[in-house]
Amino acid sequence: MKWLAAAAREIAGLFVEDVGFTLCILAWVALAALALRELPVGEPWRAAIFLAGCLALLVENVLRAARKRAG
Amino acid sequence: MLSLAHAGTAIASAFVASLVEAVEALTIVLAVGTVRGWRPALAGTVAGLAFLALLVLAFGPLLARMPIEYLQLAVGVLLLLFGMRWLRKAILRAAGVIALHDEALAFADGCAALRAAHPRRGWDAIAVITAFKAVVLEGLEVVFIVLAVGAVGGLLVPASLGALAACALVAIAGCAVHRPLARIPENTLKFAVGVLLSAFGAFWVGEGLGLHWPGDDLAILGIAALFLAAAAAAAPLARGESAG
Repeated sequence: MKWLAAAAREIAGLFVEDVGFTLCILAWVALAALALRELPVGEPWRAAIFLAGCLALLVENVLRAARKRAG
Repeated sequence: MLSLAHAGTAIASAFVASLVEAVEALTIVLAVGTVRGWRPALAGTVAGLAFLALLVLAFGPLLARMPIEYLQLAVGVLLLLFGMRWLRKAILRAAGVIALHDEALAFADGCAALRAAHPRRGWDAIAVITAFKAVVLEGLEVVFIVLAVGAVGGLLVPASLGALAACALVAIAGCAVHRPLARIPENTLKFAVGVLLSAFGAFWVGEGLGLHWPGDDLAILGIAALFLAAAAAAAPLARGESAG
């Protein structure tokens, strides 16, 4: 059973390093699924908003990690 | 019908990711071969590669049977998590916030651990298992990428060939120099793979959610360019933040 737990940890580690970052991405995808269709904007804008959110999450998390290391 | 942009980026992702992971696996296999002998190192490597090939053969056709909308969304979310994790780490390494992966140090550590392990008697199980684990653990990421980009885009065979070509290239280079490939710009390659996989992830999640990307498949290149620009801008900012 120990090897099974180790394998599960290894597979989870492929996707999760910073739990907060992972949860933010999942929350953004969920929000996009629920709310983007309701926005009164043109079709390509919805995709652009989704992408902008992903980029913002990445930059914000990187800067937060850098600040954490410094402090 | 898949565009060249789609197929090309999928195969390039599998090739470059495989290159990075194969370099890391080679370091451990070289340590095993140098300290405990080449026969168990090769046996462990071949067994590891066979196991990884089995995973691709088992899960590839299975994924291909899923309805495309669910597959795009599920694989897109996983690729987004996986790609952005790689990209985040590569940015932090480029910014000097976390240390770069050092193949020479990993080789020295591996050799020291193998020397300290039980002396070999008959079949050297420790050496075989160490090489097997290195190949499987590093290869799991490649298998995921091959399955993800291969299954959704119907590119399982080309993506697998891209990954195999990278492994062969690293094996040939490793045999030629008999040293860890410390000069490979690993972080730059990880940066590139992170950008490509994040772009695929965002594209497929968008497709799965029914969003319309301008330019259809060509949008992947634009998304990748934006991820690259954001990552390139974030690295100096992070360096500034960590410096105080």
